Amino acid sequence: MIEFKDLSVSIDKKNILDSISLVANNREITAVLGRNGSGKTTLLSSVLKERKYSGSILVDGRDISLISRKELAKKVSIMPQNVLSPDITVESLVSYGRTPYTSFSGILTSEDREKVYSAIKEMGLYELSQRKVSSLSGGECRRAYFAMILAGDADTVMLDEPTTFMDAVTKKELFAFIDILKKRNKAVIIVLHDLTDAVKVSDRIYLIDGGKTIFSGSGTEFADSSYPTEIFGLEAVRIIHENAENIFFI
Amino acid sequence: MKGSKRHVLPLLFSLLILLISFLLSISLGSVNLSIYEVINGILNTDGYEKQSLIIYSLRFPRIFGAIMAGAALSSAGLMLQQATGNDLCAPNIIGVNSGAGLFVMLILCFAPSLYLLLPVSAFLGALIATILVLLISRMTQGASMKATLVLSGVAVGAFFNAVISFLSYLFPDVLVSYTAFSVGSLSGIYSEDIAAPSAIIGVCLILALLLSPRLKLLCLGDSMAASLGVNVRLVRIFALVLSSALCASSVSFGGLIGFVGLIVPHMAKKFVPSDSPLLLPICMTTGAYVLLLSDLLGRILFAPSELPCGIIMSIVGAPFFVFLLCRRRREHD
Repeated sequence: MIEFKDLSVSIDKKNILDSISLVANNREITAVLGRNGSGKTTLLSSVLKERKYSGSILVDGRDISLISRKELAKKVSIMPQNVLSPDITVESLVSYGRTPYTSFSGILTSEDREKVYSAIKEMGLYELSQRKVSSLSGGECRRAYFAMILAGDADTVMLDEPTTFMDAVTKKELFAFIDILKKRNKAVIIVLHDLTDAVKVSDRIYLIDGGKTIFSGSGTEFADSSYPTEIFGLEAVRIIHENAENIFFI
Repeated sequence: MKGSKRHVLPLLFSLLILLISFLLSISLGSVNLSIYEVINGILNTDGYEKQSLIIYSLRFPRIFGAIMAGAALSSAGLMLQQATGNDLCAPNIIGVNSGAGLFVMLILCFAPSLYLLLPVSAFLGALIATILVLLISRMTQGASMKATLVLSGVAVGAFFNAVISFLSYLFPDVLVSYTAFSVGSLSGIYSEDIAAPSAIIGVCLILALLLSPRLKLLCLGDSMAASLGVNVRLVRIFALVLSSALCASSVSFGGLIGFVGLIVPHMAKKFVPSDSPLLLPICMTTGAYVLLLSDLLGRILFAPSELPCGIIMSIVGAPFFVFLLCRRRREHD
């Protein structure tokens, strides 16, 4: 579980986040929505302790300022919006996920190797494990990073706009991955720009605008509110298919 | 990991080449020594005093200097490339060499009687250049410094080179001495010249090995590395300071030997992948034998005259680097 309490961040004397509060519980998918430049990425990256902030960020009830980077990395995994394709094998990339658990030498224990192997298998990367990440397709590369996060086994996983440049197949793989995380009792925060995807995958939605939280609630409550039109200029359309209600934004 | 066991073979191979280069460097030169003479010279047997003198006073310090400078410059190059994410980064790119050069020039111009202080001043100049680069990067970017590190280095290097050119214009007489330093040579070095720099290089190489598992994570990008618990800024600064100390130590006795820091990391990556835990040790041994062989070539090509190893490195290194670039392009195609 991760909780942001009255979080404010300024960059070059400009307020990017202004007293934002947000809670992401275990076994829940929390979607963060907002226009470009609303502070979504800043919210996630504030957990990396690379930038000064006021307020507090609590992980399992402990303030992250009191936790070492290594301990924090065991509890929270963050996948940035733009992932690189380094010139290393898939196996190495996935094993990097165990970095917070290794000593300074970086040598993996048999338990670490077991987790790496199991993550590679789970993401269907066994055949690709000795291939260079730089030689993979965009979708395969994303899957390799998903496996890295699974190997890390952190309780909270934060994904920053993971659907950017994704085709339908890769997006399906992403939602399957999120499902795995949820089943493993993880707290997942996902920054999305597609409202339909957000309503479909999340249990709770936070809408950020001008550095403030202007809405928090379920997907249905969000669709019923005036915010989709006010902020994004979109309208919710409901379609009943096989006795299930599907919400789309057009 | 099974991969690291597979990579032991290239390490053993490069150690073997280093051993062969070492033996060749002892026996070949302006005076060639047979294996029999080498063994007796090392054992200081009666009747082999002359050979013993050549080996202990001239060849051993030079060989040891080449090994230490080669290992230092290649490791510094690899660390800089990993820290900046730029495969073309090398000690001379980030202004370290220019810093050393400027301080040597200052001594030659204004206090030539203090020529014994040249190695110390080169060391100081390299470190001051590094501190300036770090300060400018911090001022202009603040957070990760990745993008501005190389640019700040280029700016500091350009400024220092301009001052060197200005001093050369004002003091044309010192140009010959400066040229000898700027070409890079291991000729005429003695044990006392390399003792202190070698100790610094030894400590820095151990620290580099300890830093290596964290430094290689920077290839994932700053945010991803930070998410894995790495203090990205600290690792980057530490890598830069270590690289500068390694270069400064080698410059202090060998002058501005170019190309080792740029080429050798790429050679090492041909033997093992860039994620191998043995990349840095292989880079060190490869750098050691490359410089040793360059120095040997310089000694025997026009014996009894000598070509500085810096010239050999540039003559052989530049085309070799172009070959590497062409090969990489073919691989990508």
